[in-house]
Amino acid sequence: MSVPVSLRSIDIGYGTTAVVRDLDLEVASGEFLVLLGPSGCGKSTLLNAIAGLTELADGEIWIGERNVTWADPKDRGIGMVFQSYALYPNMDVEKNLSFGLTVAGVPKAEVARRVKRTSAILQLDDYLKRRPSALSGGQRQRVAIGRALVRDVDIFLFDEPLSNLDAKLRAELRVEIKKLHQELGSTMIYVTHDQVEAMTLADRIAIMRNGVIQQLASPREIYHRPANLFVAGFIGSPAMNLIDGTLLHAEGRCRFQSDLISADLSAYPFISAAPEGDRAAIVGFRPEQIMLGQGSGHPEIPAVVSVIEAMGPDTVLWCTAGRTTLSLRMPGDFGGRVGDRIVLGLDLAQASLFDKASGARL
Amino acid sequence: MQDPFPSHARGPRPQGLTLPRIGLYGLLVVAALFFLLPAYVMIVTSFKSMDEIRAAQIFALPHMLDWSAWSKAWSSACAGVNCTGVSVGFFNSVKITIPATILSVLLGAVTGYALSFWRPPGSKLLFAAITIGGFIPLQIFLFPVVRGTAALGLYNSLAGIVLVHVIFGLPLTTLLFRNYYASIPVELFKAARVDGAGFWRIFVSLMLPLSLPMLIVAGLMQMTGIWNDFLLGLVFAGRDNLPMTVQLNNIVTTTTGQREYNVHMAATVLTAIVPLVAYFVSGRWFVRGITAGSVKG
Repeated sequence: MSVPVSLRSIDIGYGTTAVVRDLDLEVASGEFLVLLGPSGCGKSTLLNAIAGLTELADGEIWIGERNVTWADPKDRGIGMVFQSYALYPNMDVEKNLSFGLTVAGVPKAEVARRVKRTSAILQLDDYLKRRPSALSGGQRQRVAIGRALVRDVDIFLFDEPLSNLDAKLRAELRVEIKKLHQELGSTMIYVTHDQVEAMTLADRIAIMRNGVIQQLASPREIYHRPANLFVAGFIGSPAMNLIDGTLLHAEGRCRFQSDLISADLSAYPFISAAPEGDRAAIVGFRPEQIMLGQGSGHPEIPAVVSVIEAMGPDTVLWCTAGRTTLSLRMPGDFGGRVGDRIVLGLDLAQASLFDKASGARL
Repeated sequence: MQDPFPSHARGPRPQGLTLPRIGLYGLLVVAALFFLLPAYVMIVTSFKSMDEIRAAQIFALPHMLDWSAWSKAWSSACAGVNCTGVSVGFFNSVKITIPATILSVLLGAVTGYALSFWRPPGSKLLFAAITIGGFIPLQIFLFPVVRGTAALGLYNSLAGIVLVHVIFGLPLTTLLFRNYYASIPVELFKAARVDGAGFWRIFVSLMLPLSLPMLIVAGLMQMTGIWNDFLLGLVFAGRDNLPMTVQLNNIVTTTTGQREYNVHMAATVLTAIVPLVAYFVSGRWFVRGITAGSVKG
């Protein structure tokens, strides 16, 4: 069964140490929501608050039809997976899985049945009698997931569960978690600072900074239409290319003017009507939104290749244009050399335009 | 200077016994002998007859192993008019040490656990107070505690002396356990709470099994401390419960006729043997507990 989670004007911490301030968040039932942000942005604190491990200074938390603001963690119907696994070192895998059920007074036969089912799902059958210290990192994290799974919880909370694993295992377990979500259909809230995890796992991503949600949207929306400069810079690798300039109004038309380009903005999809008056603005292009070669029909700027990074499937080109460095993504078989003179085409209809003062998307 | 890059260097570096090494070991051996000397004299003297002792050769070995001083020390040496040896004191000490050790260690563990993980309001203040309390000499508290136990009706009783030992042991055991639990990741505690375990369940099922090394260290420290205590036993235990240390003192200071040094030495060794054995048996665990936390398991 899946259940929605609702955070209503939540404050955590007081005064100068406030970690989260007046935060609202609705997580739909069965949704996979990722809380993404740099360290110290309050995402883990928020997760702990949902689990009932951190007190709120103000606000309410609703899980399903119940106000759980004052409820103990065990009564909230949540399971939590920690970065450090947090397996009980003095118990074997089987006891780790069954501990919560035993505490809840579930009959022995039922406990055995559920442990068996869980260990089958997570392929832990061969390790049931082992202590956590005798398991690999990936196995430990599977046990930690199993500990939530075995209790039939409504909500899964993940606190950077893959951050302690090496890159290969991380990719494998990421797929396993995704599969698990598809099979169970449970509501899952997942904290990470890894944008690849966020992009691949999430139905929606909430990007946080300093305890405030900067943007809450689908991965696709966040990547292609970042709500502000912070989101634009945080998501994407290499980062979005940003060009400083001015937004000019002349004869009822909007233009972007900088020392690199001067371009008409009539094709750009403004959020609302194009703002009145001239103002400082920043235009952003993803590395794959910059085209190579002449005759693209878009505004063109000359540049020189300064660094070539061959990544395998694609090649990242770092070019210098004037005093600006731009990155662009080329196919893996790109054949150019450092020092080549090239021409870059910039399509402003695909770009993102930000107000320089507020950082907000225009 | 030696050549740091000899051309024949190959494989492990030779670990020669250098002169400073020999000096170091020599110093250690001398120090060990120096500390063992009193023990040697005690044991040797306890096997001598009074005639031999009067010969005043304290380092000489006894002519024959004479156990009579030992049996006298155990069962019939006189302290004042009571000629019961140290055996009564031995059993009194056992009756005091066992409950006082168990209680002070377990209470310290619970307090340290609560301070480390549950952090009730004012816990930092309480911990500071406990720490400071542990550094104040206990003699300062003697009179108030005498009045306190008297008011409770526990003065001069077994329960009273056990209570006093538990109270004076708590600062140390609480400090030990709080710091030990501070090294346990807090996620473990959070996971257990999410699993539905409460205060006691987490303590008994998770924290106590994890603190086995510290249980042994704290237990050993408390045991030896309580066994070796003289002052508290003298003040609080009452005549019927005088611990072995007090009785030993009474026997040694009783002056009727000649001083029976062999009996006194035997009684002293008997009193000291318990903590000594405890350290020998659990030395390995003791070191492990002391260094626990520095190495993550």
